[in-house]
Amino acid sequence: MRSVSVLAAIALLSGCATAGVPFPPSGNAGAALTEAEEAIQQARHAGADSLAPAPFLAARAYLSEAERQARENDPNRAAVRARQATAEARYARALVALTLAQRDRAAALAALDAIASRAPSDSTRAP
Amino acid sequence: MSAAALVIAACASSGSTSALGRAKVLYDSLQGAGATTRERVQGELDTARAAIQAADSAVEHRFGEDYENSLAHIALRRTQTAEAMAARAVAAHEADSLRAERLARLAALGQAQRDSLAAHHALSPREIDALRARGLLGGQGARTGASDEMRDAMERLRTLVVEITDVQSTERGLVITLSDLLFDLNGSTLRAGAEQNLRRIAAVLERDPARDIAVEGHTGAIGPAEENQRLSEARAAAVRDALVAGGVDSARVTVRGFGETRPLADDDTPEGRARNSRVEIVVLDAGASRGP
Repeated sequence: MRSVSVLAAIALLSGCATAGVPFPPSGNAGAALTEAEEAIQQARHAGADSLAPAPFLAARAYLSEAERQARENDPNRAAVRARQATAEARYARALVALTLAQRDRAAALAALDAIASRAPSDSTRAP
Repeated sequence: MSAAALVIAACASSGSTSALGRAKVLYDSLQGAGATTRERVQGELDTARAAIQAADSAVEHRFGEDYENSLAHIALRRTQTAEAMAARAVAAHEADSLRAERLARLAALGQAQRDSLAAHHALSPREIDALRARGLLGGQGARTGASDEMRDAMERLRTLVVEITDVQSTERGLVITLSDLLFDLNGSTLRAGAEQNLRRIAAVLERDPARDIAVEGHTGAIGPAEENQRLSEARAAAVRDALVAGGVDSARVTVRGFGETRPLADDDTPEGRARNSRVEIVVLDAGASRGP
């Protein structure tokens, strides 16, 4: 449900945005698009589609928007949208890394609890 | 990000100032965090600062709401990325502390209890290695791996260098495992801040200049095998270059890529893929083979 609302919001964003004034020169749109595609691919590889779906879907939506604007000969807007896609994908990847680290911490805590329940009853015995 | 936030960002005049303001507040709070936290995510903080400056400039030059909103949201996401990476580093550090505490409790148990736990596969390979090194586990003598001093130095470095995911003594030598968070995007370019962390590792490696070093790249299994092979080789080479730039004699270092052929875990889960995509620095024991 949340994913749908994110996509709907970005669709609205596109409707508002393209009616605006032209963007200033914003760098190489082709390179920005390639960078965004790679960032999204890497985020997907890391598991962002399941562990950080909101920014991951936002990244894809921004990339679609950037590709459309590139086709419509608006390279400056396309470059900025592509950078937004990259920023979202990098954020998604960071959230995945955080989630995995938190799971690892939880596992370490559970392992400590498991050993803590063992009384060192024979610890005085010589090894 | 909520749907409402995106709509506001696109259509409301307050969008850019709101997002940019949040980015600045968050950036300031990260800058106000401890020096260790800042060091851990310096690269991400530098990227966030540049994005905030770009968004400020857009507002100053009045390039239009859409442009200003877009750059403000990039700044916010970049800053939130730094925040998430800082939190990740804290979680990793806490997990290390918990493991150290568990190891201390294992050491305090009796020999029979430790041997029983090992026999029932209740100890991790790392714990087994650490206990054997201390002579606290039956059936094994002293370790054959790298020096205690280097191992301990690398363990200490883990608290600062978030990309180090494991330090383990093996039959080949000391293995320092680095996550693919070292790299930018889906390639072999070191991300901002990674080179500095590899220089720190190089400084520790320089403490024992007699040992040869093998740098070995590995990937997960997503994508064509040939591409994964190429990526693993390129990433290992990038780490080698950074170590050499950090002062390690290039003659000591060999580089190999193994692509997806040596996974550590199930590649179907995010956790598994995170473990499989890695670069290992092996500080070889005297006489150890450069190939695994």
